[in-house]
Amino acid sequence: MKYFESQTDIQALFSRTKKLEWVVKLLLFLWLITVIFFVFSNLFWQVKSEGQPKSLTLNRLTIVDENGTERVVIAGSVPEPIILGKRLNTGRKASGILLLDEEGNERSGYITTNGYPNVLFGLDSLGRQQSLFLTEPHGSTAFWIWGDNNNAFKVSVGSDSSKFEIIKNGKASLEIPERSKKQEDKNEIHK
Amino acid sequence: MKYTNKYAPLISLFTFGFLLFISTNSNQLRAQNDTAEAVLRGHKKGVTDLVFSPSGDSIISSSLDGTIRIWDLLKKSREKIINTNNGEIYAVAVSSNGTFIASTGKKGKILLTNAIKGITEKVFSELKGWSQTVVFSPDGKQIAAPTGSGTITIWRVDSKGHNRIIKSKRQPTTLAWSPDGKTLAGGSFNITIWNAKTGKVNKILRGHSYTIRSVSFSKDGKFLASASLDKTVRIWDVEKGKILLVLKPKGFSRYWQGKPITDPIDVPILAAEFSPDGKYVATAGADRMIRFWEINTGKLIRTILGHKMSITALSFSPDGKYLASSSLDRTIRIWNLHKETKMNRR
Repeated sequence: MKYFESQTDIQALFSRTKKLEWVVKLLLFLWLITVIFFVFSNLFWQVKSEGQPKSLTLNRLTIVDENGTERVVIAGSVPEPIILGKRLNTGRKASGILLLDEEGNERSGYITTNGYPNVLFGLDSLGRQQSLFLTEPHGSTAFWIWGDNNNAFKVSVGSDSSKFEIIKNGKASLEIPERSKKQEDKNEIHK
Repeated sequence: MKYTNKYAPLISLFTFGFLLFISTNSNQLRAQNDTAEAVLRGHKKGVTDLVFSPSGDSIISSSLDGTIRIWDLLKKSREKIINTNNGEIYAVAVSSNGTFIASTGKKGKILLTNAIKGITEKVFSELKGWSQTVVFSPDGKQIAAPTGSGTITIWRVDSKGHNRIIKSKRQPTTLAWSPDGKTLAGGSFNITIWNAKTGKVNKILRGHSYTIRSVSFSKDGKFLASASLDKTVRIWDVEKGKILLVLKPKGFSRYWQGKPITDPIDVPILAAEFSPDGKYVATAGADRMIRFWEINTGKLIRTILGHKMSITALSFSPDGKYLASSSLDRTIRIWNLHKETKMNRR
């Protein structure tokens, strides 16, 4: 009992025990705080995940490729067409889906137009519209394909007539029903 | 005295690393392992237009990324970037003394930028839409651009005097000022040539069947070259108003499994520029090739491959030794026309 012989040693031991008691209490307190934090944060995330929206409302969604080039645009107001580095100033106001090629050129659109509400689906080459499938609000529907040298194929169906046309070098090579003489005369006057 | 340093290997390693860093970062103008003399990289989106400065020591480019960049070809330092706050930039032009740059962008502003300070000094127009082209007069004192509703506006750079309005049936997609400054050519579906002073129509050149994307005068002003989405380039005699040549570039270049191949199809042409000596015209576009045509014979004499996407603009250096091309592949390439090696000569 060499170490506890004096009164001073006993007092020092007592003081150290007190300190240790405080440390244990502090650690216990911190442990409790941590537990409470984890319990509450878990509850919070649970509440948050339950509160996640089931629908997404936005004006424009743009999909880009690995180079950052816009490839798909879904928008309430689609941008004007961009062709080979220049954006056209068409005044087009429409909503729908656009597809763009690796250079960023608009190559296809599936849109409804504002003002006169047509719905249309178009496929474009570099710089030109090559095919168009269109339905007007009152029901008339048309399908056009254009090629080089003013070659075209047109089919249209309305409420009181239907038409089929094959155009070669800008002139109708087949037209069903055939244009009436009266209509041709009328067109001649208009020329 | 014997020199010893135990840190010598560390110091040399650090120095080597530092030099490597400098060489890869500060020098944008470095030759690439392709046919181009130099490839300028930096634009974040497609490059829409470019022009050599009148001195030939720098190139000014515009991009869909909204910036104009000035590439110093002598110092080979990092390019000067001008953020225009004008949206996508579609065209640039430089004044005859090289001090000013005019540009047009999607936000509808025609901007005059000081090329030396790199700051925008004037905003000439706030359009409802936007114009796709802007040009300087040969004396560098005026700027012309389409301003919508069938008008082309001519502004004085010094803002002295009135702006002049030229009426145009269609909004031109491209403009060119004749070297003598007397006429202005605008391309849409046709090419209209106006008297730049009075605004009267001198001639209408008809022949293209679709949108014209570029018109440029030969140095003597006698000829005009036009490139169109109708896949042809036409060379016109300006005085007679007649077509001299119809060039039909055929062949679309692309890379397949890392190797260049050419499909035998014709595609829209976006640029046609006369060489400074007037003997050749260079054309390029969605074909991704640069072709040189002899004006006298109409023969294709050379093709250059290298760009991986459509070529939007061409510009010859004033001495005719170099040709610069801009592309939607985000690069600008400079071609040494006197170097026969690697170029595909026909």
